[in-house]
Amino acid sequence: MKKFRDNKTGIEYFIVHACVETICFYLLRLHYPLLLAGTIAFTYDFFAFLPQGIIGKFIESHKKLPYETIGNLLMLGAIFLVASPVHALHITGYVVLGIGNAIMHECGAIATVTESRGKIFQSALFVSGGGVGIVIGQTMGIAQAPWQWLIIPAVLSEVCALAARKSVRKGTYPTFDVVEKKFSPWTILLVAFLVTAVRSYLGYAIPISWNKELWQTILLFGIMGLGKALGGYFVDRIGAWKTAVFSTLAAIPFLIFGDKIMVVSVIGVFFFSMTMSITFAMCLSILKSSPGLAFGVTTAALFIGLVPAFFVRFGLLTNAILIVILSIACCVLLSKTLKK
Amino acid sequence: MVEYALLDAGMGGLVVILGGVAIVVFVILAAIILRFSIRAIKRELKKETEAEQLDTQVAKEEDIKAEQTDEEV
Repeated sequence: MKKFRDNKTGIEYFIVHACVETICFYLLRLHYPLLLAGTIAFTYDFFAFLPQGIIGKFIESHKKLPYETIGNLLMLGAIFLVASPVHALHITGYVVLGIGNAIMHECGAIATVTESRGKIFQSALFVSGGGVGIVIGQTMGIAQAPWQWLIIPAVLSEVCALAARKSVRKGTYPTFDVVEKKFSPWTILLVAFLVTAVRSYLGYAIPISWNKELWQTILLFGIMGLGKALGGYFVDRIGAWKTAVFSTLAAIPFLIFGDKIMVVSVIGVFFFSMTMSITFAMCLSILKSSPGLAFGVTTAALFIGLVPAFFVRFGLLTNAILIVILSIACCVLLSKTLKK
Repeated sequence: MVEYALLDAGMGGLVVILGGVAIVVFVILAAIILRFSIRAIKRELKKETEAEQLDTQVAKEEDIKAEQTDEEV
């Protein structure tokens, strides 16, 4: 019971994140068969990931506005716009959806850091909720479930976000200290940015030809979420350096040889997902009084890492080589900049 | 046939123009967002440095005061 109370904000924002992604991935899947699917995904990702830093900074400096309600209302508006029969409104809907998503993510990042007591687990828990939402949303979208059902996650998201509204507005944040002091703040931020961008790109390069059934997709995203949450747990327990080096190196063989063997691949994805919270902790160690901006650095990197995936696709061998080289490069960068 | 070919070419041209405009809009927006983000980070880092300097100064002043008190005693 005490552990539940200690991680209450993390659990609340786990649910919020799951609800938000359910709405987003349902709507993204709703028009998926269209020729414009790539454009829609790019537009949505652009507005959902890139402006989070400035949105976060704005939330931190203007505490009186009801951001949770604004975010949820934008998402609700996006549901009506995207589901409307007027095609011209769809792209506008995805822009509104992206901005609503960004606001909710920033509220989650700020709230969980505020209540973290210097531990990264709650933020990792919040981030891991996304995987649950992606699976639910995609399944509902592919099954063409009635869009009116999305009102349920929208309401649930509002209720949970309002329960944690005080955490977003406290204005004092615990200190994180996971990086070596000898490097300049810009170097640390650049390393965190590069590692996140590479991880984001590699997420699309991982060979998973075994993933054909719905239950396999559910398993994959479930493992991803578990990896993210446990990554945060291990950072708090054994330290960021050990978690980063171990998980980055351990993931490589499993990712390369898991193309056709699900169990092997899933282990690789689990290790691969563990680094998620580490780069956030690195940014938090530099931008101590602005968790929103710190989270924004990682989401901007996620977007930059996604961009090549929209334009180029490599073969299996090239992807395997990329996974090895880029993972080792990330491991070296993290091992040099993280505190032992 | 000729009309269809012209229509195809016209549609293709329209797609290229609209796509080009969209890319330009995205690039401009990205540049604006990144510029604001970098400016916010710079301001944040400056604030951190100032706070650290202030802390060091306060600690130094306290040390001097403590030394003076010791001497007086």
